[in-house]
Amino acid sequence: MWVMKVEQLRAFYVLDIFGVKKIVQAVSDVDLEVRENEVYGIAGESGCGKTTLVRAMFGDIQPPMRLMGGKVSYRVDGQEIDLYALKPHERRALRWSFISYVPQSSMSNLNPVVKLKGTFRDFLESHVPRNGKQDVLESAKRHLIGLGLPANVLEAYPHQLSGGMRQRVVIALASFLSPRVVIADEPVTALDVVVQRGVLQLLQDVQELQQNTLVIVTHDMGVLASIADRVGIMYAGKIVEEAPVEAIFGQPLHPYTRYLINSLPKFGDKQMRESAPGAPPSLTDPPHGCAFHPRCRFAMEVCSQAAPDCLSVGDEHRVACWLVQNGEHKHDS
Amino acid sequence: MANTNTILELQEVSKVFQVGSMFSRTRITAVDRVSFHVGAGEIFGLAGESGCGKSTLARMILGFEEPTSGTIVHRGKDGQTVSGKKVWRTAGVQAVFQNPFETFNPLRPVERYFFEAVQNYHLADSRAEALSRIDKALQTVGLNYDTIAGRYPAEFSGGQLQRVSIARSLLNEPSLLIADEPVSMVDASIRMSIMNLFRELAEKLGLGILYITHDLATAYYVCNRIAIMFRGNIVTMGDVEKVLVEPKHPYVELLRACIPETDPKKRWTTKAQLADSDTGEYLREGCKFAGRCPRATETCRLEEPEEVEIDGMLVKCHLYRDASPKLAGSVMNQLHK
Repeated sequence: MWVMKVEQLRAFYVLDIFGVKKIVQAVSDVDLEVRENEVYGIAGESGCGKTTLVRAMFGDIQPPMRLMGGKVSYRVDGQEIDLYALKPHERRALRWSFISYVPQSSMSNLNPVVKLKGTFRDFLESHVPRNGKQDVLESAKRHLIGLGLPANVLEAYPHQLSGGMRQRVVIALASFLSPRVVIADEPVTALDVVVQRGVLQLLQDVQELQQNTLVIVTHDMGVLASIADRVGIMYAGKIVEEAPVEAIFGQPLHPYTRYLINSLPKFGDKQMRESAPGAPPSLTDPPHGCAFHPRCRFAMEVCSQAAPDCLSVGDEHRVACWLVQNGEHKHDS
Repeated sequence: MANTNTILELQEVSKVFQVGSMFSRTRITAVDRVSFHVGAGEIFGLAGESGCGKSTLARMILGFEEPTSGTIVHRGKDGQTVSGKKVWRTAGVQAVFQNPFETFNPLRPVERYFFEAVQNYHLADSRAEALSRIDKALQTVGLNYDTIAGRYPAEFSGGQLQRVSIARSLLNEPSLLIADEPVSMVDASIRMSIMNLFRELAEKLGLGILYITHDLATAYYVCNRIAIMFRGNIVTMGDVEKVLVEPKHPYVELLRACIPETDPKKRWTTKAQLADSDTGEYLREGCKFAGRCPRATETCRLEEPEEVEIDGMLVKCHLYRDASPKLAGSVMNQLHK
């Protein structure tokens, strides 16, 4: 059963630079369903609209970003709620208790002059009814220990902790009220491998413990291979392929997905590996037709004329590519 | 035993930092007696977790930081003996940094950096000559002058800008390139094109490249030899096929286990041990890895292990105490072949 649904979502950035209007089509016509108790991964290059998509899903729309159409619905206690029909204070009430968001590089945004217990207290006092300072700290401690983190971090200032520990504390904070959905935006980018594994482990532990939904955004397919249940591949503001993780890695259908997977280095194989040629398209003026066609080596005439629809090709697998729709696609080419 | 091909040689280089105020001062040995060398046309990897001293080492090689002890010799010349600025280092050694968007000032067109470098090193007499030189450097990385003319850093994609940064460092034909995490901020999808570029530079221009990273998968892909650092020490060093494929040191096993598998069927089933604080491990006596090592014994916690040579690689671990102790230079000589 879905817990969050996105329909025909369009979120653009409308910029006005010295009288010249520029529209960045960061998210265009995205349909997505995130289910209960699953890990959903969103992958794509930088500048493909991943962060804009999750911010729109979280309901954090601030100029110059604008919602141009579409709908985001949550299922809260069995009831469907249209996020953008809510009043601002009702939306705020859902945050952290129903859905929480760990933004990019949030570990660097902890208040440097306050001990972490201060941050925890600030956060809790605005979300749970007052029940005394000591109670809040006690429950914070219990929560940290439950996640396998040392409770004495509450007495530390952010600079006294390593980057990985800070990131894990932020995740602990985001999961404190057992939200049904946790969105983590690039939680492991630029962390080293050992710390990366620790953070991924924690995210997984939280998900298993609270039986909720984790949406993880990353550009590293290796990360998704190790924790996601279903994966959506995003390119130029659109979802181009979506499938369970085994199918994405086993039978990738979109040429872009195949580039993403083939470019991962592997041990014991020093063969030349190729990245996708060219550069990501500009979202102010995306290529006509399928946005990937200038970089695609299978591009046909139709690719530059019309954008393919994202159609189902069986078993929860859908893909937006003319090759697949014309039946010309071969597995393992 | 410096080989004629050796471009850079480090001997027993240490760096000690002091942390804290006057009365509660702690001395942290960020780099502890590190020796290695880089040859021409070779990509030498230096890998380890963040906070293991690899960037401090890079800063010392580039001359931003003075080593507390030990020598760094570039092409037979010791930087220590030159007073004032270390001219040889900046002339023959160039650096590529982690985040290309921080390398360049966002308010300056990137071509200015190229003209500035040409001027600073007196590489050309006329603008036409400068242009041809700049164009040549850009062509080596698969770009040309027209693609950068008049453009600002924000107008490039991350991968392109990292290429521009590499082209800039090639302008004065260095013999050694220090690449400090050159791809960790670049998208996974275009990482490989930068890695392929490094391979090409080493093969075609005979450039020595010191590739500093925490990502063993890319290190395996490009490096010839590799050294793994842990809390200031090199714990193992040798041919990349040997060090990474048949790991001897338990730390390398941990690092390898942490690389996400690209196959969803081979997920992690066990948990990895993480350090809570960096300083704690730095101050540890005996083997610094003993706190996290699954095979640590009492000896590991008390005594620092010796460097021994097994199978052509250097390993610093008590597990191999009975193997032949390192004979001065024998490993080095063997690795040259």
